[in-house]
Amino acid sequence: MNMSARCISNRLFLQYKITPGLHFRGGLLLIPMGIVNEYHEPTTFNGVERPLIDNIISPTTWREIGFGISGNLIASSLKYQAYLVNGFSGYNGTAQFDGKNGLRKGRQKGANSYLSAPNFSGKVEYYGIKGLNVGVSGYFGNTQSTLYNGLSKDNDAALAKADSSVVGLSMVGVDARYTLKGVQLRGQYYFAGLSNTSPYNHFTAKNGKPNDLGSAMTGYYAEAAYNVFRPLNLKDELTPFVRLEGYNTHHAVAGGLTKNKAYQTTAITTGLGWKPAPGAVLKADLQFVKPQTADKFTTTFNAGIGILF
Amino acid sequence: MQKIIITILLLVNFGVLQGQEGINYRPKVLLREISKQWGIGDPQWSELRLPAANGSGERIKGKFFAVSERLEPNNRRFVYVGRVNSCRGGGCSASGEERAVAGDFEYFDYFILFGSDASVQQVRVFNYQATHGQEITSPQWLRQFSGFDGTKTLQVGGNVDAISGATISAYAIAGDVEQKTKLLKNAELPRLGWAKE
Repeated sequence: MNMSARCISNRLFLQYKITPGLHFRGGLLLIPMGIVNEYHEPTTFNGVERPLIDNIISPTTWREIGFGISGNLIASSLKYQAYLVNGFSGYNGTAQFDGKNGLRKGRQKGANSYLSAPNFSGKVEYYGIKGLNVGVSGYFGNTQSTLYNGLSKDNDAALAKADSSVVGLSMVGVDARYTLKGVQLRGQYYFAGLSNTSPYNHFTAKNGKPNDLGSAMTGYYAEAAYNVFRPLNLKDELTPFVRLEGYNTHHAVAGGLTKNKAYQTTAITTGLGWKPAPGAVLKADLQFVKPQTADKFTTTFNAGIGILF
Repeated sequence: MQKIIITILLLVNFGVLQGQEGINYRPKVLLREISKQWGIGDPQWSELRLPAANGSGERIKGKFFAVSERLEPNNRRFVYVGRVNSCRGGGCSASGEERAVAGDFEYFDYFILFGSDASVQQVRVFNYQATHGQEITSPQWLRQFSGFDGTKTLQVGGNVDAISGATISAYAIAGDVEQKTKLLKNAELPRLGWAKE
């Protein structure tokens, strides 16, 4: 009989202050990539669902075991984070990445994580201008593979096989948030470059058909919102918003793979959020999604309640 | 890896139990701003002894000071230096010992410079130890508290601009500035017989 116990947490870490502007952190860390991964509570973003690119390209809630440094340099209005973490699981008996789902299935989330090569994750934010936060994120390293477990360095064939089961990942994100009175603007851009995708796609072929992981992915969104209750001096917030986003998990492909235009998607999301109190929100929105291969947008209605406690 | 996880969990437990360090009541940036704003290079400090309960029963994590030039002891301005818990992880809704463990690692230290009429002249955060919400340390954002005299309520999203991603810290500092301003103006200065007409 197998039994397991599980504690689900999206962050759990030790923070030790070395100086006021320098902390050591170790444990289950949120990867500082983009906006929503670190600010994923429903009261902190507009719309019922997170932006699509924070699902496919930056797979929120993206958290891994690791350690590193972080801190605020108040005089310079800078926040920095730099961590070494275990990377995505790219292969654990089956392929974890493909063109359709991007990197999402590779998250290890801490519990039973395994490590074959450490990855670097970092972010710098500037917040010196009132209402503005600008961030640059980076994530670099090779994905993990269980084929390296107990592998002898003399076994060239097994080493070559294991090497084909990993991809190199270099992801860069640029984000900005701006708030001025009732106006809220935010934008986000991701570029993910992947290496070794051709050997990976052939190694993880199914029924003789190679996998279809792209060698570069891109994604963006731009969002505008306005608290219409602000001019009325009400404590509640009622915030209509509109978000335009797009992503392409086949921005580039390698090794003779043909670009699949169905993986290039545009989406428009518009809706309302009502915050009766700072820690609670009721949301409703319409989402229009269109892959490039489709003739028209498909429409989805979402509604939800979010509570931060 | 499992061994590493267990070790980290033990470290987390140890780290949380260490608690907070004391507040630095004379940070360099405060001395610099007193000199810059008030032209007082050699300040004379006099702590205002607050009554224990302050009417609300709330323990105040900070101190009020009357500050003057040594040669002009009657020309007083006021300084508040204190700590605010930013209340993540249920820290501020918990109680007693639970609160001390859950909430005390998320905090920031700041000061308020008050004029002789107890209106706010400047607010600065000099030690930010919370995991998010660092945008409130921006001097440009803090400038909106200047001139606050305790006659109104500070409302984030109203007369205080909200910050995306820093809601908890913005509410925390706005609430604390309002409370400390009203305490100084309405309770402490009249009690000491220093209130201006």
